Amino acid sequence: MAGFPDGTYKMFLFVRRPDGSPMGYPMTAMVRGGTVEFTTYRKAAKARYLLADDRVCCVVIDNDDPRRATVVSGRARPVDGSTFAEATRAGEARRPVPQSVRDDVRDRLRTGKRVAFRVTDDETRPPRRVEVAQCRSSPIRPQSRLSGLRSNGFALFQVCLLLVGLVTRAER
Amino acid sequence: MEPAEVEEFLGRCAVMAVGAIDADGWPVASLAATTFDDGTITIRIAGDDPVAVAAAGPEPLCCTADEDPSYYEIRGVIVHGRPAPAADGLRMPVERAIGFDFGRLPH
Repeated sequence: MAGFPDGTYKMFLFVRRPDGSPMGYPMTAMVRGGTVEFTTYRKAAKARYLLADDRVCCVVIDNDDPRRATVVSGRARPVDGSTFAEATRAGEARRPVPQSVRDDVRDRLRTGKRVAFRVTDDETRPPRRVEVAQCRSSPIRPQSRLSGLRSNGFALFQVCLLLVGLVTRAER
Repeated sequence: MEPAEVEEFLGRCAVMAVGAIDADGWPVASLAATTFDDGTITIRIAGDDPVAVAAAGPEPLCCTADEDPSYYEIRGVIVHGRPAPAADGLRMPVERAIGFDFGRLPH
């Protein structure tokens, strides 16, 4: 979740229903330490689907640009709701959530009416960045210094070729 | 939301989240530019996007979007269908649509 500081984000959660079809839900995601968490009612259909098949695909929208997102695949497993509730107090917030709503969520997590899930990344399905404007989809790879050197070196090579061409033309 | 409201919402949607189930049974999803006309959503998505790959077949697809001027005004749609390949992506006749409007719930 590079580029996503701790806080809340708009997210579309995709799950697999028992009949094998996809289902997507607009949600609020909480990112903590690079990990996606969310909460829902224990009796909600999505909670039942997740307890049957915990594989999810999360489209986490950039708070500054709704046409950009990071897509995370992993397994959503129930976690202790109290730490989730506490974390909602801090971090970047996508939109103001009324205090009464926060209090309700906290209370319902405490009583078990709501359940919190944490998404554990699937290592075989690395996160992807998507950007609607250019219809691009590309895997996120760790930035290596070598790749920067490679691209800088290539640019330098192109400049040298240009200079050689100019000098050759001037000599003629 | 009434069916006419769902259609009106889809008509305004420029971007939707789209998801499918891939060959391994995993949900895959992406963001895509969309247009809606005469009951069909056109999804502009790269041919090598995991959703485009998974949807070939055609396998069921789910598209969803929402808008939220404030916490109490969240509205959105979730639609399903079976897409067919098109020159600019996928075309999906809407088979089933769900609309929600939190602003109509008692607070």
